[in-house]
Amino acid sequence: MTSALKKSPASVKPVKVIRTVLRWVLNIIIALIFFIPFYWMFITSVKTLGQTLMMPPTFLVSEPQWQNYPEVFTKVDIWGELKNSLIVTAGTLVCQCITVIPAAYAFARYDFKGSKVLFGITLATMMIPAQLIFLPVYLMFSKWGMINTYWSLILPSASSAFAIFMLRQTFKQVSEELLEAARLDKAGEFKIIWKIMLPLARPTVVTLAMLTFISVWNDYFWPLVMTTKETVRTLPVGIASLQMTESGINYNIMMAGNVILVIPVLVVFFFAQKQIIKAFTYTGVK
Amino acid sequence: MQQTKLGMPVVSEAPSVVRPAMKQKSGLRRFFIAVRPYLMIAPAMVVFALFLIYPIFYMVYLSFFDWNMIGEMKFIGVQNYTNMFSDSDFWQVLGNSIYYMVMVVILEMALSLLLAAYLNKNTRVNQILQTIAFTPYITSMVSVAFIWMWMMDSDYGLLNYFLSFFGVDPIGWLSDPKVAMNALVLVSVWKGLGYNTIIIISAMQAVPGYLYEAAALDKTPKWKSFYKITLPMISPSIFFLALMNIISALKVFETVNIMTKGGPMNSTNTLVYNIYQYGFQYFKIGYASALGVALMVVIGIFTLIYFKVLSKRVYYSN
Amino acid sequence: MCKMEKITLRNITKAYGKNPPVIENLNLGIEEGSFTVLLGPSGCGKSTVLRMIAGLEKTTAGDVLIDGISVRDVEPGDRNIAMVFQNYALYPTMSVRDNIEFGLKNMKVGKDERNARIAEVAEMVGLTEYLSRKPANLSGGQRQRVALARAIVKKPAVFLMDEPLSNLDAKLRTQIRTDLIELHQRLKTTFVYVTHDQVEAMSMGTDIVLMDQGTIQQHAAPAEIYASPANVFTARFIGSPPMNVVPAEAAHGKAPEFVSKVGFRPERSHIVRPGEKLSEDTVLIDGNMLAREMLGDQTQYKMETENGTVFVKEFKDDLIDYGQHQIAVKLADIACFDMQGKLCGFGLQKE
Repeated sequence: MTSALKKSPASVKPVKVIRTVLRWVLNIIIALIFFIPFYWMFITSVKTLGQTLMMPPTFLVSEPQWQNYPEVFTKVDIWGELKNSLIVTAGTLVCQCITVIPAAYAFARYDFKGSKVLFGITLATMMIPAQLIFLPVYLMFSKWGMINTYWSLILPSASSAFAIFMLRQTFKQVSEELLEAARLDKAGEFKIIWKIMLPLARPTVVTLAMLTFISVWNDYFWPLVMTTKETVRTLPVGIASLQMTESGINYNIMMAGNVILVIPVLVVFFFAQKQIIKAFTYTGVK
Repeated sequence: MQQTKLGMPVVSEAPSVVRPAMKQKSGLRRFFIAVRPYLMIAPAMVVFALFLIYPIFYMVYLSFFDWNMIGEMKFIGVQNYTNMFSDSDFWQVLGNSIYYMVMVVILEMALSLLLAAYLNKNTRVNQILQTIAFTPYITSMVSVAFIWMWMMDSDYGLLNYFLSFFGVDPIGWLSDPKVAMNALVLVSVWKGLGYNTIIIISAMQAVPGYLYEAAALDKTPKWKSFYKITLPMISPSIFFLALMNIISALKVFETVNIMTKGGPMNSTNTLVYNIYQYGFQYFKIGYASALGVALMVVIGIFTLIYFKVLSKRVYYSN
Repeated sequence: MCKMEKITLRNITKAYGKNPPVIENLNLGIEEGSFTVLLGPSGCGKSTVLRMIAGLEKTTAGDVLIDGISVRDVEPGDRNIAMVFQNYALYPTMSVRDNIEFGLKNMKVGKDERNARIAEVAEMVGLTEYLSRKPANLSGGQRQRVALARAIVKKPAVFLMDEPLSNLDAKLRTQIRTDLIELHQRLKTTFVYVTHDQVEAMSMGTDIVLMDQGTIQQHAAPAEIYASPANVFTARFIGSPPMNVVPAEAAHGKAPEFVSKVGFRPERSHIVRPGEKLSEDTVLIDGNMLAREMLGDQTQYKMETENGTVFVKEFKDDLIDYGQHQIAVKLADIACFDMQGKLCGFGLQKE
């Protein structure tokens, strides 16, 4: 019987060892491909200008030049831009709450004339990218005298078709009995949304808020085209302006600025990786 | 009668409870109930109408004018379009956009498929690797563009330094017209790889396990079961992802603006960047709008395909 | 003296969309303080009636009156009613306490009064220790009691219950059945209870409204509905096993001409023992035993006769063996139904 089984455990071992080693080599290479650029950003940010221009490059720095960071603050108004970023991000989140939650509830729970058509239009707007309509929107805002205001950054993304779609799906899953029970308990529609629907939809709401936060925080295109003055510019645009120096780019300062830009998102990502990955892959998976 | 701690008498004989008279709904209230759904969707609809739908029509309208943003608007019919079609720069830009899109989609799909197959098993190490690979995706495109710009520096860049170990001569990543577009493709693929991989992995893990067990009983080699079972089963997801990548590749702007400014020799100029140039640097609003309409047509074609697929997917999942 | 009607349904019609109506021209009066059970097979419209009383469903035509006032324009929350749902419909994100309190808060009941009422009701249904728990951490029976508490605490004029016991296991069901009778005795308010289970209806109801296909078949007290069923449907729906109903020809001409069907209850028949003396007014039916079920205090026999299968239920200790037997039924126990299926009366004449 046993002779029919070809392999004995002893003969498997060398193959297994080689495979494990190969796997680990590959794992490390994959990790490095994604890790090195970030490491390179950080290590450059604490080098002197001279060190950045050394060949071969150095991967470790014995005397980190932390003063590169304060220097970024002298070149661009980081605090002001940080404040702008926060205002725009918070403003967008607040506006989206106001527009998305009631709309999602209405589409999920009311039967009204034209709801299908209006929902179809809502979905269709998902397919209009900002990169397509930035010019006419810019002209509209400039006609209204609203260029270089927070409104020009917040209003265009004051609602989100994707968020309405996701939240509507969540609201639809709540059983009708629950709403009927609430109505019999004399709860008005606002109370039903606030006290019953939203607590039930919490995971979706958190997910959507995180998506909005990260995409608004990171956004470079829209604030770039909608603003001409530094007073309302957000962090990504400010950091990008470090590029515009007369004497070529000082990569150590540049990278220090980048670290400042990337850190908040990386910190959030570190603490909520699972949730953020889930949030971002929502669209593709379902 | 019971006494509570607060000393309040508790009435348990229900009929003695005094209740308010039943409130009848007024006509105003009934009207409010009828219009309530519309009131609730109104804010969102106003935003969509004003900042997404109206601008499309406005853009088409502008494309028939000659306007520099300050002076008089002059109606010139389809002049902007005839100019556009006879301009070799336009064809180059369109070609660049399509080249970029094709390269990004092919590389992104192929690499993420490979990576997904490699990281498919749900182990701790694989999950960590997935998370690491995902990090660029949530990083600002500005930072990614600068980091790579720095790494692609032809004199002091890390990339050329690594390649020198393999005897490769320094490459002008962003200064050689033949290479520059590919450099931008590389950045985009690097940024999106983790995202695409994770989506493919979740599609792979949705393939029922008994299919592989059946194949294993038939002594099917692993690569063959990947080719014969996994790939067909996840093909709807792949197609869906490819379309998403196509549309996002057509929107490329950040890397172009930061890393190359459309150069060298216009080799990395794309449709969106070209619209930006005509609108905000040359102030030819009409022509820029015509370019916008061209972009809209290209995106529209792929969007239509995308929606066809999406609606099918929705049917599947329901 | 005629008791006051708490709820009146006047010429109610209900149709969904353009489909034929599920309920047509229904009239029903529910007495103040009664425990009225809406009973019927699934799809008979009993739940729809309940939901129309609650205001969760609009009537297509007709009026619902509470205390003699039309509630057409009164929101569900303003009707002084409380409802217990089949799946309890507890608010999952709220604690037991918040679940019970929610309605009171919306009714603008003061804080002290709220606390007092919650304490009282929690004590009453035995939930005091569980007030801070979430519904997900409760057993089925406990959830059921939260649902009850949530209704009781509002001190409504009417309790509506939509199959509230159907998600419980048999033992718990019996227990809560008793609890509900007790509750009704204690509160003396109007209960309207929907079920498809005749045992629940018979055991709890003071009034039973038996429905089929959107119409009321009979509205009577349990004892009456059992003793004199209005028609074949009622006769067969109440009682377990159902009344044996056979064509009038089976009575071999003993039945008057206008009688089209005759029937007898299984528990009013028995199988003739060898040597048993039978009185004059007894009918004998030949039958072959198909199945025998011993249930402890009673035994059911399924018998095949020339007019189809009939059931016999006995409360005797001796078991009858399988084989050919005779079934004995007293003439007085035989129900006669006319062409429309309506009951004409009990008792056949001896030839």
